Amino acid sequence: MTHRRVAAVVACVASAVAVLAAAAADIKVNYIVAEGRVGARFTASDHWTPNLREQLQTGSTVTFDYVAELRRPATLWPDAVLARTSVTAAAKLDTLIGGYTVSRQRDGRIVRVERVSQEAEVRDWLTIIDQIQFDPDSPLKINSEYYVLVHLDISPRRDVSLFAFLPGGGHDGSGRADFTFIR
Amino acid sequence: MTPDSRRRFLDNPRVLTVAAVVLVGVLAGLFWLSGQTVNIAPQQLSAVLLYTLLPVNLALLLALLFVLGRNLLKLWVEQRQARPFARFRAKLVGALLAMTIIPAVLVLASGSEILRSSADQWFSQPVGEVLTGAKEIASRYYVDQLEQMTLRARKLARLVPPQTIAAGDESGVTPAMKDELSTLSATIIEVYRQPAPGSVPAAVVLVAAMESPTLQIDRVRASADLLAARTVETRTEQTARDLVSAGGVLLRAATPVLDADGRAIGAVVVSKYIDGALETTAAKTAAAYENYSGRRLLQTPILVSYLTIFVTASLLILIAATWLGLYLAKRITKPVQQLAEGARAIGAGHLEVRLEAETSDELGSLVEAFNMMAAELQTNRAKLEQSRQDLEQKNTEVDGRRRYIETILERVATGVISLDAAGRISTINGAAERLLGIEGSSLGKPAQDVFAREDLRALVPMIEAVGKPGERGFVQEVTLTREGREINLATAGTVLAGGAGTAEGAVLVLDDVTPLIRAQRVAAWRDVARRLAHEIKNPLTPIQLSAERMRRHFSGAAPQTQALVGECTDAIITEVEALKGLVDEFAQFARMRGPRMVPTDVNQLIDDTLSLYAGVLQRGTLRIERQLAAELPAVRLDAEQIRQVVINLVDNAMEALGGPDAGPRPSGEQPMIIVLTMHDARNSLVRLVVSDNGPGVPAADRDKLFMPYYSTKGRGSGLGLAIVRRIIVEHGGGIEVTEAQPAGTTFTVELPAA
Repeated sequence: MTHRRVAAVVACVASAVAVLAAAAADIKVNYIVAEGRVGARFTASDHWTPNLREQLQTGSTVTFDYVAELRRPATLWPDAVLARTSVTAAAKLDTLIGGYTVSRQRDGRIVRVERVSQEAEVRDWLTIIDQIQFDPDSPLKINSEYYVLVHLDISPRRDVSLFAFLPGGGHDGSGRADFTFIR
Repeated sequence: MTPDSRRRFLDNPRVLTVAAVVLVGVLAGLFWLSGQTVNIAPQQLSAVLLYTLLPVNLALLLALLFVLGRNLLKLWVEQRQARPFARFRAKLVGALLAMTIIPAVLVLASGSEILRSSADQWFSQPVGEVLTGAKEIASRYYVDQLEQMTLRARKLARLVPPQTIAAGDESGVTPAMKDELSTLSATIIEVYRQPAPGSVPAAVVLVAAMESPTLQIDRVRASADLLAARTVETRTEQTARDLVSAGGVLLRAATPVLDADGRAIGAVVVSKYIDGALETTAAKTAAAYENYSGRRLLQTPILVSYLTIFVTASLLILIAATWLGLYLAKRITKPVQQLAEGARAIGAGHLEVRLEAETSDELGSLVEAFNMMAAELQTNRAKLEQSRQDLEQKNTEVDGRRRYIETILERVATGVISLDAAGRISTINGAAERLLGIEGSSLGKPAQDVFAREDLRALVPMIEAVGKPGERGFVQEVTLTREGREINLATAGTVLAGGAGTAEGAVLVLDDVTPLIRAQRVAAWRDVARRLAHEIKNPLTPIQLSAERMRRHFSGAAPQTQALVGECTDAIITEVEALKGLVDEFAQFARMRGPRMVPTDVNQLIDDTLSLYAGVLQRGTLRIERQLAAELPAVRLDAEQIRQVVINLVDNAMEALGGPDAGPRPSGEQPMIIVLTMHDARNSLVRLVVSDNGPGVPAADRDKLFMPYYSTKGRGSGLGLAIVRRIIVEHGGGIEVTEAQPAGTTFTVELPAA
């Protein structure tokens, strides 16, 4: 293999990594440690885009699927996932009378359905998720490093990613917050 | 899996059928899937289908590249190795691949373009405008209805005293509700109050509800309750659209009831029923619009999804077509390649090579024909090998016979010369070479030319005779004169007749009968000698006695007479005595006994014999030089007779040189006699040579030397050399005289080694 080909392969890999890395820093994650438990709040305001608003106005159901994981970093092995929870926020415009029907599911269960009339409410509904609690199987170790990782998948998608089927390549956004667990 | 089992697996019709059915099934599934895409939500279409088929396509593409790369690499390697039919196979594969790949790529490209242009048509501007307009109409109707109801709700909220609502006084609010309801149709009016903080229940409480008398539907309280609660909570007007189980929809408008402080103490909800037909139409219109708008925004992923399905099908077809093309190329070229390799192997002599017919078509028939040819060749080669071995054995036998005959021909004393049809000498044995004095270089030369030599010219008529048509053969005696010697040959010529009776050559057989002739002459002379001795000796005694009587009778006569008689009788007596001696020599020659031969050391015999001359030679200048060969084999001979031979030869030489006291030769050389022995191993002979440097013997007299009563000395009986020859002949040998160089005479005696 010539040096030129090696350089081309390296450039492609670097581009892919850069694309994935760029998509991985657009959700603001705030962790909350209280009474020995870990909670999180995350905001994906950057994903409230004109394209998304346009899709919403067509009457399509717009869904924000969040997967939040509490992880412990490891050196050689993949990071350990201590707890995982999923939140799905959806919104749909009633194209006949206006107004939006918004809903929220947590771990597959519908926890709330509401009707809102303002687009700002829909934006907050879809992009701001709070009161997330993690329930790890075992207690967290004091003074240990942990982090909260959030992935976001938005549907429907208007773009096509050739890396969508790769692990981690199909997420529309992600965010991470590292912390040291102190009781 | 071994290559053979893999090949058998791939050649199994069941496997191929199953693979074809699977392929057709997958393609049918893809076609079915593409047909079902209209029923799949756009987001599902792009999210699931696209991202499921993308890795599939990638895998198919890799598989295609692998199949192509592997086979192209194999073709390249085969070409580099100059395998048989590699170029033909490469061309065939190239043609088949071109026939599959090019149409597939063209179909893929054109299909993609058709899909893309079709997608533009799906979301064309007029369609969008129609759907948007229809939706706007339906929406406007609904919004108008909601605005009407909102106005009614506001009106009621103003008409009803807040404290009445707060107190939950139904009778206080119903009059206004009745008045309002009387102007409306298919309408429901509901008034809610907000309980005081801390009271139970905490949610809004229905104060009063009224509906148009003609409205026959089940009311959905929960929806109205929620709408009222949200209205109170947000202190804003709310609208809602609730489906009714019986069909149709309730359009709801809610207005908060505020107290003097602006706090929401309740809410008025006005709901209007829209019948099912209208609602269905509006809902369908909205759904069509939403579907269209959603798909239009998702045009790219939808198009890519369809393209993905299309690419998947195309890749499957391409892989199948490519594999089929390569498979067919292999099926076509492999038997041909096998045939070429088989032919090459057969050309190299491996006739046991057999090919396996993989098909029952024409190529299979060709392979079977090849196998039959190879089997036939193998059988024929086995026969040829057997024939070759037989021939080799016969050749060996013939060769052995030839060597045997050649050995015999070389060993026999009979000369044999064979001529070909053109009269050229084809073979000649050693005896013939010795007899005729010709060499082996005469082989291949015309016999006429070889025998044109002066001393062999007498043989030319024989050559001419065997060349005459119809001649079968002849027997003839020929006398050759070579180097002053007569050679008597008994010749026989035989014409070799071919299968058609034509002459293919001739064989000449030459027997040296010179010794026989000589022996016959000696025998004749012996008979003459015996007769002479008998006839002459008998009257000699009376003659001698008569002469002596006459001398005695005239002893008394006159002295003159007595002297005359005495002189005459003395002469008579002397001559009679001489005649007696001569007759005795003849008698001895005639009565000479046969040799008593025992193995004898010839050198020792010569030493002993020459030692007799030691005393004689001491006083003279003549010398006898001995050159005796070392390691001379023993010879069966009669020592007394051979000693006599040596003495005769040496005496003759001494006499030719002038005796022991002879002076130097005219050339100044010392008179010298050389006696030498040599061994002729090739002819198994021992030669005894006595040579002098005397005046020599004229060539014309040499052959007469061995005849009885021939003498060059003018005295003696002339029987010496005749006796010598007889002794040598009776020993089975021969003697010849030649001229010594530069002068003198050489006698060569040949005796067979023991």
